[in-house]
Amino acid sequence: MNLENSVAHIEVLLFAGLKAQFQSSRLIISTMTPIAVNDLIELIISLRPDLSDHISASLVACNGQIAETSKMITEKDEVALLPPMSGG
Amino acid sequence: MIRLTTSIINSAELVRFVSDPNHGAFVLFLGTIRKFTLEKETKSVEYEAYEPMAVSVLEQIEAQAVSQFKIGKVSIVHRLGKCLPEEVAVAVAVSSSHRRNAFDACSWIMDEIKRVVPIWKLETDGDDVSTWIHPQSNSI
Repeated sequence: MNLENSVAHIEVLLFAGLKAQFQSSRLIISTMTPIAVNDLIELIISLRPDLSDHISASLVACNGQIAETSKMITEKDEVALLPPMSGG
Repeated sequence: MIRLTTSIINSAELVRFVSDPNHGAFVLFLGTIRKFTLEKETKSVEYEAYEPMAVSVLEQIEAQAVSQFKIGKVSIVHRLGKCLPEEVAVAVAVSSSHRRNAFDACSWIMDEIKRVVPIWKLETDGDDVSTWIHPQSNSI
């Protein structure tokens, strides 16, 4: 995998309360890539600091798997922000 | 059998799937929409999922349950979309040689569904106020 930094657009899928608050089912984040999950979360918080607690409480999924905060993400990955789950 | 559905859940179908002449225990759990929590009324609950991941995680839960509890078969069906009070929101059926494994597995599966499957609920109360339920975080 080529890990050279470049500017790219990462699409982040949103669900439930975060989707409602952002009034969108997805965010497009323009950033240098690859980017660590932790840094991506900080970028999202910078868009809506009022939702900091909710965003921080969420997990990031990368290609359908929960991602560690150190995982590096590129624009080719399917990224989702998962607020605390409430199925059942 | 793992399924997400917008249709009414047919619990008989789950039981049929796990039925096995070699198993002497069948446990069926039905999670239904509660009309009142203390004095607070629930008019409806709407479920949303990150569907591909939810199915994948449910399959992982099924596989782990079979391995960990030495059970036979598992069926898990979860509703999506709008559910009304008394409707079944989630159903889990487990078959096993003996009852203890089936009870334990069913309980564990439900805990895992609530903990790790990307499904969320939007509750609408008696005043028509809708709130996304997010445990561990203030609801939005």
